Amino acid sequence: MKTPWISRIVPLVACVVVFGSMLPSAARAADPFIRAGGESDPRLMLSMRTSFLYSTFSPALGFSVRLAGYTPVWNTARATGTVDVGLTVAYANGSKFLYPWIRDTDTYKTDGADHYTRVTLSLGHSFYFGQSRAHQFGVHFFLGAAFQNSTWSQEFVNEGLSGEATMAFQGLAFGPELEYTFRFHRHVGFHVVLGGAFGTVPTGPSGPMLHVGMGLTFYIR
Amino acid sequence: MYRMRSKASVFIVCAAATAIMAGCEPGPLPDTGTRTSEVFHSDLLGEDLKLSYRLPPDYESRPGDTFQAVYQLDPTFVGLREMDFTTGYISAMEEAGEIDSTIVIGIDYAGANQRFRDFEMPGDLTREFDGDKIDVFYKVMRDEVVPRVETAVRASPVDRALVGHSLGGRFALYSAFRYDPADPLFTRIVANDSSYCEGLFAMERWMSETADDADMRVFMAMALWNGPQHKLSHDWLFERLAGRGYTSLALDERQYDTDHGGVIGPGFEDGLRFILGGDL
Repeated sequence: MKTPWISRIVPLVACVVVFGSMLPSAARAADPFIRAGGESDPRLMLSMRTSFLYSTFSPALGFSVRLAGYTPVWNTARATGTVDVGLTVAYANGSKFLYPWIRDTDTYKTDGADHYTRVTLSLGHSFYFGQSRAHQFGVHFFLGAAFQNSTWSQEFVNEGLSGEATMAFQGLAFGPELEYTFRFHRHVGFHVVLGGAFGTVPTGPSGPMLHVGMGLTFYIR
Repeated sequence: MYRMRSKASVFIVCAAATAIMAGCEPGPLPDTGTRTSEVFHSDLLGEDLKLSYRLPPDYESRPGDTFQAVYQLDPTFVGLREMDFTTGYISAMEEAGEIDSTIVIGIDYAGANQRFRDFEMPGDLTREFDGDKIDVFYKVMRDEVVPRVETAVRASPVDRALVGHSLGGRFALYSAFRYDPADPLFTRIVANDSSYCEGLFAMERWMSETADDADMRVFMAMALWNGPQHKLSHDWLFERLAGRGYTSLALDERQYDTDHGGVIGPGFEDGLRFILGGDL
Protein backbone atom coordinates (compact mmCIF):
# COMPACT_ATOMS: atom_id res chain seq x y z
CA MET A 1 0.00 0.00 0.00
CA LYS A 2 1.55 3.27 -1.09
CA THR A 3 1.30 6.38 1.03
CA PRO A 4 2.03 9.89 -0.14
CA TRP A 5 5.56 11.09 0.57
CA ILE A 6 4.23 13.98 2.52
CA SER A 7 2.55 11.60 4.95
CA ARG A 8 5.98 10.41 6.07
CA ILE A 9 7.43 13.90 6.35
CA VAL A 10 4.68 15.35 8.50
CA PRO A 11 5.40 13.33 11.68
CA LEU A 12 9.09 14.19 11.46
CA VAL A 13 8.42 17.88 11.07
CA ALA A 14 5.95 17.78 13.93
CA CYS A 15 8.45 16.13 16.27
CA VAL A 16 11.22 18.55 15.39
CA VAL A 17 9.03 21.56 15.99
CA VAL A 18 7.50 20.20 19.19
CA PHE A 19 10.82 19.43 20.81
CA GLY A 20 12.47 22.49 19.35
CA SER A 21 9.87 24.72 20.86
CA MET A 22 10.62 23.36 24.31
CA LEU A 23 14.30 24.33 24.22
CA PRO A 24 15.39 27.43 26.15
CA SER A 25 15.89 30.35 23.85
CA ALA A 26 16.38 34.04 23.74
CA ALA A 27 12.74 34.28 22.79
CA ARG A 28 11.88 33.75 26.42
CA ALA A 29 12.92 37.24 27.11
CA ALA A 30 9.51 38.30 25.85
CA ASP A 31 6.23 36.75 26.82
CA PRO A 32 5.24 34.40 24.02
CA PHE A 33 1.56 35.12 24.52
CA ILE A 34 -0.89 37.98 24.88
CA ARG A 35 -0.06 39.49 28.23
CA ALA A 36 -2.49 39.73 31.14
CA GLY A 37 -4.59 42.83 30.87
CA GLY A 38 -4.11 42.92 27.13
CA GLU A 39 -1.71 44.67 24.81
CA SER A 40 -1.73 46.45 21.52
CA ASP A 41 1.95 46.40 20.62
CA PRO A 42 2.27 45.23 17.01
CA ARG A 43 4.80 42.54 17.92
CA LEU A 44 4.90 39.20 16.13
CA MET A 45 4.31 36.06 18.17
CA LEU A 46 4.55 32.47 17.04
CA SER A 47 2.67 29.40 18.13
CA MET A 48 2.39 25.81 17.09
CA ARG A 49 -0.87 23.92 17.37
CA THR A 50 -0.78 20.13 17.37
CA SER A 51 -4.14 18.38 17.16
CA PHE A 52 -5.56 14.90 17.05
CA LEU A 53 -8.39 14.92 14.58
CA TYR A 54 -11.50 12.93 13.82
CA SER A 55 -12.95 13.65 10.43
CA THR A 56 -16.15 12.59 8.77
CA PHE A 57 -17.67 12.64 5.29
CA SER A 58 -15.44 10.61 4.81
CA PRO A 59 -14.40 9.27 8.20
CA ALA A 60 -10.75 9.34 9.21
CA LEU A 61 -8.46 9.72 12.19
CA GLY A 62 -5.35 11.86 12.04
CA PHE A 63 -3.44 14.84 13.25
CA SER A 64 -2.48 18.30 12.19
CA VAL A 65 0.31 20.72 12.93
CA ARG A 66 -0.17 24.44 12.44
CA LEU A 67 2.54 27.03 12.72
CA ALA A 68 1.00 30.43 13.20
CA GLY A 69 2.20 33.99 13.45
CA TYR A 70 -0.06 36.52 15.10
CA THR A 71 -0.01 40.10 16.18
CA PRO A 72 -2.37 42.26 18.26
CA VAL A 73 -4.48 44.68 16.29
CA TRP A 74 -6.89 45.96 18.91
CA ASN A 75 -7.24 45.95 22.64
CA THR A 76 -9.95 46.77 25.14
CA ALA A 77 -10.30 46.27 28.84
CA ARG A 78 -11.88 42.88 28.31
CA ALA A 79 -10.26 41.43 25.24
CA THR A 80 -7.45 41.65 22.75
CA GLY A 81 -7.81 40.90 19.08
CA THR A 82 -5.12 39.49 16.83
CA VAL A 83 -4.67 38.78 13.17
CA ASP A 84 -3.35 35.27 12.64
CA VAL A 85 -1.58 33.73 9.66
CA GLY A 86 -0.83 30.03 9.66
CA LEU A 87 0.60 27.14 7.75
CA THR A 88 -1.04 23.78 8.48
CA VAL A 89 -0.08 20.28 7.53
CA ALA A 90 -2.64 17.59 8.28
CA TYR A 91 -2.82 13.87 7.73
CA ALA A 92 -5.77 11.56 8.28
CA ASN A 93 -6.25 7.86 7.75
CA GLY A 94 -9.65 6.43 6.83
CA SER A 95 -9.36 2.75 7.56
CA LYS A 96 -12.07 0.15 7.20
CA PHE A 97 -12.98 0.11 10.89
CA LEU A 98 -14.12 3.72 10.61
CA TYR A 99 -16.75 2.73 8.03
CA PRO A 100 -19.39 0.89 10.10
CA TRP A 101 -21.47 0.21 7.01
CA ILE A 102 -18.63 -1.70 5.36
CA ARG A 103 -18.48 -5.17 6.86
CA ASP A 104 -17.34 -8.50 5.50
CA THR A 105 -19.85 -11.25 4.97
CA ASP A 106 -19.45 -14.86 3.90
CA THR A 107 -19.65 -13.78 0.29
CA TYR A 108 -18.17 -10.26 0.33
CA LYS A 109 -14.76 -9.20 1.60
CA THR A 110 -13.08 -5.82 1.49
CA ASP A 111 -10.12 -4.12 3.09
CA GLY A 112 -8.12 -0.95 2.67
CA ALA A 113 -7.77 2.66 3.69
CA ASP A 114 -7.93 6.22 2.47
CA HIS A 115 -4.99 8.51 3.18
CA TYR A 116 -5.69 12.23 3.25
CA THR A 117 -3.04 14.94 3.42
CA ARG A 118 -3.62 18.67 3.37
CA VAL A 119 -1.23 21.58 3.25
CA THR A 120 -3.05 24.85 3.78
CA LEU A 121 -2.49 28.49 4.51
CA SER A 122 -4.87 30.14 6.92
CA LEU A 123 -5.85 33.63 7.83
CA GLY A 124 -8.03 34.57 10.73
CA HIS A 125 -8.87 36.60 13.74
CA SER A 126 -8.59 35.65 17.39
CA PHE A 127 -10.08 37.07 20.55
CA TYR A 128 -8.07 36.72 23.74
CA PHE A 129 -10.28 37.37 26.70
CA GLY A 130 -10.36 37.29 30.47
CA GLN A 131 -8.07 39.35 32.66
CA SER A 132 -5.29 36.85 32.08
CA ARG A 133 -5.97 36.68 28.33
CA ALA A 134 -5.58 32.94 28.76
CA HIS A 135 -8.74 32.16 26.81
CA GLN A 136 -8.66 32.45 23.04
CA PHE A 137 -11.38 32.01 20.46
CA GLY A 138 -10.32 32.07 16.83
CA VAL A 139 -12.05 32.06 13.48
CA HIS A 140 -9.86 31.11 10.55
CA PHE A 141 -10.24 30.38 6.89
CA PHE A 142 -7.85 28.03 5.18
CA LEU A 143 -6.98 27.44 1.56
CA GLY A 144 -4.56 24.91 0.18
CA ALA A 145 -3.84 21.62 -1.46
CA ALA A 146 -5.46 18.30 -0.65
CA PHE A 147 -4.00 14.95 -1.53
CA GLN A 148 -5.85 11.64 -1.36
CA ASN A 149 -4.45 8.20 -1.89
CA SER A 150 -6.86 5.30 -1.54
CA THR A 151 -6.13 1.61 -1.80
CA TRP A 152 -8.87 -0.95 -1.33
CA SER A 153 -9.30 -4.60 -2.13
CA GLN A 154 -12.62 -6.25 -2.77
CA GLU A 155 -13.89 -9.77 -3.34
CA PHE A 156 -17.27 -11.15 -4.41
CA VAL A 157 -16.71 -14.75 -3.38
CA ASN A 158 -19.66 -16.33 -5.19
CA GLU A 159 -18.88 -14.48 -8.39
CA GLY A 160 -15.19 -15.36 -8.46
CA LEU A 161 -14.22 -11.70 -8.56
CA SER A 162 -11.40 -10.21 -6.51
CA GLY A 163 -8.92 -7.41 -6.95
CA GLU A 164 -7.26 -4.35 -5.54
CA ALA A 165 -7.09 -0.82 -6.86
CA THR A 166 -5.30 2.36 -5.88
CA MET A 167 -6.52 5.80 -6.80
CA ALA A 168 -4.84 9.14 -6.15
CA PHE A 169 -6.37 12.59 -6.31
CA GLN A 170 -5.16 16.14 -5.83
CA GLY A 171 -7.53 18.97 -5.18
CA LEU A 172 -8.07 22.36 -3.67
CA ALA A 173 -9.46 22.56 -0.15
CA PHE A 174 -10.82 25.61 1.55
CA GLY A 175 -13.07 26.24 4.47
CA PRO A 176 -13.57 27.72 7.91
CA GLU A 177 -12.18 26.59 11.22
CA LEU A 178 -13.11 27.55 14.77
CA GLU A 179 -10.82 27.02 17.73
CA TYR A 180 -10.88 27.59 21.44
CA THR A 181 -7.69 27.50 23.47
CA PHE A 182 -7.01 27.73 27.18
CA ARG A 183 -3.42 28.55 28.00
CA PHE A 184 -2.57 26.83 31.27
CA HIS A 185 1.19 27.30 31.14
CA ARG A 186 3.55 29.98 29.92
CA HIS A 187 4.29 27.87 26.85
CA VAL A 188 1.38 25.46 26.58
CA GLY A 189 -2.36 25.59 26.08
CA PHE A 190 -5.14 23.10 25.44
CA HIS A 191 -7.39 23.60 22.46
CA VAL A 192 -10.40 22.18 20.68
CA VAL A 193 -11.04 22.77 17.02
CA LEU A 194 -13.94 22.38 14.61
CA GLY A 195 -13.63 22.85 10.87
CA GLY A 196 -15.14 22.14 7.52
CA ALA A 197 -13.71 21.85 4.06
CA PHE A 198 -15.38 22.51 0.76
CA GLY A 199 -14.23 20.77 -2.35
CA THR A 200 -14.15 22.26 -5.80
CA VAL A 201 -15.30 19.99 -8.55
CA PRO A 202 -12.99 21.54 -11.14
CA THR A 203 -9.89 20.62 -9.14
CA GLY A 204 -10.36 17.41 -7.16
CA PRO A 205 -11.63 16.05 -3.87
CA SER A 206 -10.83 18.07 -0.77
CA GLY A 207 -10.80 15.13 1.63
CA PRO A 208 -13.12 14.84 4.63
CA MET A 209 -15.71 17.58 4.87
CA LEU A 210 -15.81 18.00 8.63
CA HIS A 211 -13.21 17.63 11.33
CA VAL A 212 -13.10 18.00 15.08
CA GLY A 213 -10.01 17.78 17.17
CA MET A 214 -8.16 18.60 20.33
CA GLY A 215 -4.57 18.94 21.40
CA LEU A 216 -1.89 21.21 22.69
CA THR A 217 -0.83 24.62 21.53
CA PHE A 218 2.78 25.62 22.14
CA TYR A 219 3.64 29.29 22.47
CA ILE A 220 7.05 29.58 20.88
CA ARG A 221 7.85 33.23 20.67
CA MET B 1 -1.45 46.94 9.76
CA TYR B 2 -2.51 48.26 6.40
CA ARG B 3 -0.58 45.50 4.64
CA MET B 4 -2.21 42.88 6.80
CA ARG B 5 -5.70 44.13 6.03
CA SER B 6 -4.84 44.25 2.36
CA LYS B 7 -3.74 40.61 2.39
CA ALA B 8 -6.89 39.69 4.23
CA SER B 9 -8.99 41.30 1.54
CA VAL B 10 -7.13 39.43 -1.19
CA PHE B 11 -7.56 36.16 0.67
CA ILE B 12 -11.26 36.69 1.22
CA VAL B 13 -11.80 37.62 -2.42
CA CYS B 14 -9.88 34.51 -3.58
CA ALA B 15 -11.82 32.26 -1.20
CA ALA B 16 -15.12 33.72 -2.33
CA ALA B 17 -14.17 33.35 -5.98
CA THR B 18 -13.24 29.73 -5.43
CA ALA B 19 -16.51 29.10 -3.63
CA ILE B 20 -18.43 30.65 -6.47
CA MET B 21 -16.54 28.55 -8.99
CA ALA B 22 -17.38 25.44 -7.00
CA GLY B 23 -21.04 26.36 -7.09
CA CYS B 24 -21.02 27.07 -10.79
CA GLU B 25 -21.38 23.56 -12.11
CA PRO B 26 -23.59 23.70 -15.17
CA GLY B 27 -27.23 23.30 -14.26
CA PRO B 28 -30.02 21.77 -16.30
CA LEU B 29 -30.67 23.09 -19.79
CA PRO B 30 -34.04 24.71 -20.57
CA ASP B 31 -36.95 22.36 -21.10
CA THR B 32 -38.83 23.08 -24.33
CA GLY B 33 -41.72 20.79 -23.49
CA THR B 34 -44.72 21.08 -21.24
CA ARG B 35 -45.12 19.56 -17.80
CA THR B 36 -48.07 17.91 -16.13
CA SER B 37 -48.34 15.59 -13.17
CA GLU B 38 -50.77 13.28 -11.42
CA VAL B 39 -50.98 11.38 -8.19
CA PHE B 40 -51.31 7.69 -8.83
CA HIS B 41 -52.20 5.05 -6.23
CA SER B 42 -50.12 1.89 -6.20
CA ASP B 43 -52.01 -1.09 -4.85
CA LEU B 44 -48.80 -3.09 -4.59
CA LEU B 45 -47.13 -0.48 -2.42
CA GLY B 46 -50.31 0.63 -0.71
CA GLU B 47 -49.34 4.27 -1.19
CA ASP B 48 -49.47 7.10 -3.68
CA LEU B 49 -46.87 7.85 -6.30
CA LYS B 50 -46.48 11.11 -8.15
CA LEU B 51 -46.01 10.82 -11.89
CA SER B 52 -44.60 13.85 -13.69
CA TYR B 53 -44.88 14.08 -17.45
CA ARG B 54 -42.77 16.11 -19.81
CA LEU B 55 -44.48 16.21 -23.20
CA PRO B 56 -42.54 17.25 -26.31
CA PRO B 57 -43.34 20.55 -28.08
CA ASP B 58 -45.07 18.77 -30.98
CA TYR B 59 -47.16 16.48 -28.78
CA GLU B 60 -50.49 18.24 -29.46
CA SER B 61 -49.83 18.72 -33.15
CA ARG B 62 -49.35 14.98 -33.70
CA PRO B 63 -52.52 13.53 -32.16
CA GLY B 64 -52.23 10.14 -33.79
CA ASP B 65 -48.62 9.43 -32.86
CA THR B 66 -46.92 7.74 -29.97
CA PHE B 67 -43.61 9.02 -28.65
CA GLN B 68 -40.56 7.29 -27.31
CA ALA B 69 -40.57 7.28 -23.52
CA VAL B 70 -37.85 7.91 -20.96
CA TYR B 71 -38.67 6.91 -17.39
CA GLN B 72 -36.71 8.93 -14.85
CA LEU B 73 -36.12 7.59 -11.34
CA ASP B 74 -35.56 9.97 -8.41
CA PRO B 75 -36.77 12.97 -10.44
CA THR B 76 -36.62 15.44 -7.53
CA PHE B 77 -34.67 13.59 -4.81
CA VAL B 78 -32.89 16.01 -2.42
CA GLY B 79 -32.93 18.82 -4.93
CA LEU B 80 -30.64 17.07 -7.40
CA ARG B 81 -33.08 17.96 -10.21
CA GLU B 82 -32.45 14.73 -12.09
CA MET B 83 -35.61 15.06 -14.17
CA ASP B 84 -34.66 18.64 -15.03
CA PHE B 85 -31.27 17.48 -16.26
CA THR B 86 -32.88 14.77 -18.36
CA THR B 87 -35.58 16.99 -19.87
CA GLY B 88 -32.99 19.67 -20.60
CA TYR B 89 -30.76 17.28 -22.53
CA ILE B 90 -33.77 15.74 -24.25
CA SER B 91 -34.91 19.21 -25.33
CA ALA B 92 -31.48 20.11 -26.68
CA MET B 93 -31.18 16.84 -28.60
CA GLU B 94 -34.69 17.21 -30.01
CA GLU B 95 -33.90 20.72 -31.21
CA ALA B 96 -30.64 19.55 -32.75
CA GLY B 97 -32.47 16.78 -34.58
CA GLU B 98 -30.42 14.08 -32.84
CA ILE B 99 -33.44 12.25 -31.43
CA ASP B 100 -37.16 11.90 -32.01
CA SER B 101 -39.67 13.77 -29.87
CA THR B 102 -39.65 12.23 -26.43
CA ILE B 103 -41.89 11.95 -23.41
CA VAL B 104 -40.12 11.95 -20.04
CA ILE B 105 -41.89 10.44 -17.06
CA GLY B 106 -40.68 11.13 -13.53
CA ILE B 107 -41.49 8.42 -10.99
CA ASP B 108 -41.73 10.13 -7.64
CA TYR B 109 -43.40 9.63 -4.29
CA ALA B 110 -46.46 11.59 -3.24
CA GLY B 111 -45.36 11.19 0.38
CA ALA B 112 -42.01 10.46 1.95
CA ASN B 113 -39.29 9.29 -0.38
CA GLN B 114 -38.90 5.51 -0.22
CA ARG B 115 -35.92 4.87 -2.48
CA PHE B 116 -34.03 3.22 0.37
CA ARG B 117 -36.81 0.65 0.47
CA ASP B 118 -37.64 0.31 -3.19
CA PHE B 119 -34.13 0.26 -4.67
CA GLU B 120 -32.54 -2.04 -2.10
CA MET B 121 -31.99 -5.71 -2.81
CA PRO B 122 -34.02 -8.15 -0.73
CA GLY B 123 -32.08 -10.12 1.84
CA ASP B 124 -32.76 -13.34 -0.08
CA LEU B 125 -32.49 -12.40 -3.73
CA THR B 126 -33.59 -15.39 -5.84
CA ARG B 127 -34.05 -16.16 -9.50
CA GLU B 128 -37.79 -16.04 -8.94
CA PHE B 129 -37.54 -12.40 -7.82
CA ASP B 130 -40.31 -12.97 -5.32
CA GLY B 131 -38.73 -11.06 -2.46
CA ASP B 132 -39.52 -7.65 -1.06
CA LYS B 133 -38.00 -4.22 -1.69
CA ILE B 134 -36.62 -3.93 -5.22
CA ASP B 135 -38.48 -7.05 -6.37
CA VAL B 136 -41.75 -5.42 -5.37
CA PHE B 137 -40.91 -2.08 -6.95
CA TYR B 138 -40.08 -3.77 -10.25
CA LYS B 139 -43.59 -5.27 -10.18
CA VAL B 140 -44.96 -1.81 -9.43
CA MET B 141 -43.19 -0.44 -12.49
CA ARG B 142 -44.17 -3.33 -14.75
CA ASP B 143 -47.75 -3.91 -13.62
CA GLU B 144 -48.88 -0.48 -12.44
CA VAL B 145 -46.73 2.48 -13.48
CA VAL B 146 -45.97 1.64 -17.10
CA PRO B 147 -49.57 0.62 -17.93
CA ARG B 148 -50.82 3.79 -16.25
CA VAL B 149 -48.35 5.99 -18.17
CA GLU B 150 -49.22 4.39 -21.50
CA THR B 151 -52.87 5.06 -20.80
CA ALA B 152 -52.43 8.62 -19.59
CA VAL B 153 -50.15 9.81 -22.42
CA ARG B 154 -49.15 8.54 -25.83
CA ALA B 155 -45.91 6.92 -24.60
CA SER B 156 -44.63 4.18 -26.86
CA PRO B 157 -44.36 0.67 -25.43
CA VAL B 158 -41.44 -0.02 -27.76
CA ASP B 159 -37.91 0.40 -26.43
CA ARG B 160 -38.78 2.12 -23.20
CA ALA B 161 -35.82 3.87 -21.59
CA LEU B 162 -35.00 3.90 -17.87
CA VAL B 163 -32.65 6.45 -16.34
CA GLY B 164 -31.33 6.26 -12.80
CA HIS B 165 -28.54 7.64 -10.65
CA SER B 166 -26.99 6.05 -7.54
CA LEU B 167 -29.60 3.68 -6.08
CA GLY B 168 -31.70 4.57 -9.12
CA GLY B 169 -28.81 3.32 -11.24
CA ARG B 170 -28.93 0.08 -9.30
CA PHE B 171 -32.62 -0.26 -10.14
CA ALA B 172 -31.86 0.53 -13.77
CA LEU B 173 -29.30 -2.29 -13.92
CA TYR B 174 -31.63 -4.59 -12.00
CA SER B 175 -34.26 -3.92 -14.68
CA ALA B 176 -31.72 -4.58 -17.44
CA PHE B 177 -30.84 -7.93 -15.93
CA ARG B 178 -34.52 -8.86 -15.70
CA TYR B 179 -34.42 -8.83 -19.48
CA ASP B 180 -37.21 -10.88 -21.03
CA PRO B 181 -36.81 -11.08 -24.82
CA ALA B 182 -40.48 -12.00 -25.24
CA ASP B 183 -41.76 -8.95 -23.39
CA PRO B 184 -38.95 -6.60 -22.38
CA LEU B 185 -39.95 -3.89 -19.94
CA PHE B 186 -36.99 -1.56 -20.53
CA THR B 187 -34.45 -1.93 -23.32
CA ARG B 188 -32.68 1.43 -23.03
CA ILE B 189 -30.78 1.85 -19.81
CA VAL B 190 -28.76 4.70 -18.30
CA ALA B 191 -27.16 3.51 -15.06
CA ASN B 192 -25.38 6.57 -13.72
CA ASP B 193 -22.93 6.07 -10.85
CA SER B 194 -24.89 3.05 -9.68
CA SER B 195 -24.81 1.62 -6.20
CA TYR B 196 -23.18 -1.67 -7.11
CA CYS B 197 -23.79 -4.72 -4.98
CA GLU B 198 -23.29 -8.45 -5.03
CA GLY B 199 -26.87 -9.08 -6.10
CA LEU B 200 -26.35 -7.25 -9.38
CA PHE B 201 -23.49 -9.56 -10.28
CA ALA B 202 -25.62 -12.60 -9.46
CA MET B 203 -28.44 -11.24 -11.62
CA GLU B 204 -26.10 -10.57 -14.51
CA ARG B 205 -24.82 -14.13 -14.25
CA TRP B 206 -28.35 -15.53 -14.13
CA MET B 207 -29.25 -13.55 -17.23
CA SER B 208 -26.23 -14.94 -19.06
CA GLU B 209 -27.35 -18.46 -18.22
CA THR B 210 -30.77 -17.98 -19.79
CA ALA B 211 -30.33 -15.42 -22.57
CA ASP B 212 -28.33 -15.98 -25.74
CA ASP B 213 -28.75 -12.37 -26.74
CA ALA B 214 -29.85 -9.07 -25.22
CA ASP B 215 -31.37 -6.54 -27.56
CA MET B 216 -30.66 -3.53 -25.39
CA ARG B 217 -28.67 -0.34 -25.29
CA VAL B 218 -26.96 0.08 -21.91
CA PHE B 219 -24.83 2.97 -20.73
CA MET B 220 -22.92 2.82 -17.46
CA ALA B 221 -21.32 5.91 -15.91
CA MET B 222 -19.29 6.37 -12.77
CA ALA B 223 -17.66 9.17 -10.78
CA LEU B 224 -14.00 8.47 -10.15
CA TRP B 225 -14.01 10.27 -6.81
CA ASN B 226 -16.05 7.41 -5.35
CA GLY B 227 -12.81 5.53 -5.04
CA PRO B 228 -11.30 2.12 -5.72
CA GLN B 229 -14.11 -0.18 -4.56
CA HIS B 230 -16.64 1.55 -6.75
CA LYS B 231 -14.29 1.47 -9.71
CA LEU B 232 -13.56 -2.22 -9.22
CA SER B 233 -17.27 -3.02 -9.20
CA HIS B 234 -17.99 -0.78 -12.18
CA ASP B 235 -15.17 -2.25 -14.26
CA TRP B 236 -16.01 -5.82 -13.32
CA LEU B 237 -19.68 -5.50 -14.21
CA PHE B 238 -18.99 -3.67 -17.46
CA GLU B 239 -16.32 -6.15 -18.54
CA ARG B 240 -18.54 -9.09 -17.66
CA LEU B 241 -21.44 -7.72 -19.65
CA ALA B 242 -19.21 -6.78 -22.58
CA GLY B 243 -17.69 -10.24 -22.57
CA ARG B 244 -20.94 -12.19 -22.83
CA GLY B 245 -21.01 -11.96 -26.61
CA TYR B 246 -24.54 -10.62 -26.90
CA THR B 247 -24.63 -9.64 -30.57
CA SER B 248 -27.55 -7.22 -30.20
CA LEU B 249 -26.31 -5.50 -27.06
CA ALA B 250 -25.00 -1.96 -27.48
CA LEU B 251 -22.92 -1.18 -24.42
CA ASP B 252 -20.75 1.76 -23.44
CA GLU B 253 -19.40 3.39 -20.32
CA ARG B 254 -17.71 6.56 -19.14
CA GLN B 255 -15.74 7.45 -16.01
CA TYR B 256 -15.80 11.10 -14.99
CA ASP B 257 -13.34 13.04 -12.88
CA THR B 258 -15.97 14.30 -10.46
CA ASP B 259 -18.01 13.27 -7.46
CA HIS B 260 -21.29 11.45 -6.97
CA GLY B 261 -23.39 14.58 -7.46
CA GLY B 262 -21.26 16.07 -10.19
CA VAL B 263 -21.69 13.04 -12.41
CA ILE B 264 -25.45 13.50 -12.77
CA GLY B 265 -25.21 16.01 -15.61
CA PRO B 266 -22.48 14.48 -17.79
CA GLY B 267 -23.59 10.91 -17.12
CA PHE B 268 -27.17 11.64 -18.14
CA GLU B 269 -26.13 13.68 -21.17
CA ASP B 270 -23.80 11.03 -22.56
CA GLY B 271 -26.13 8.24 -21.54
CA LEU B 272 -29.21 9.72 -23.19
CA ARG B 273 -27.25 10.46 -26.32
CA PHE B 274 -26.02 6.86 -26.41
CA ILE B 275 -29.28 5.08 -25.74
CA LEU B 276 -31.52 7.36 -27.83
CA GLY B 277 -29.28 8.84 -30.45
CA GLY B 278 -26.60 6.31 -31.16
CA ASP B 279 -22.86 6.41 -30.61
CA LEU B 280 -21.22 9.06 -28.48
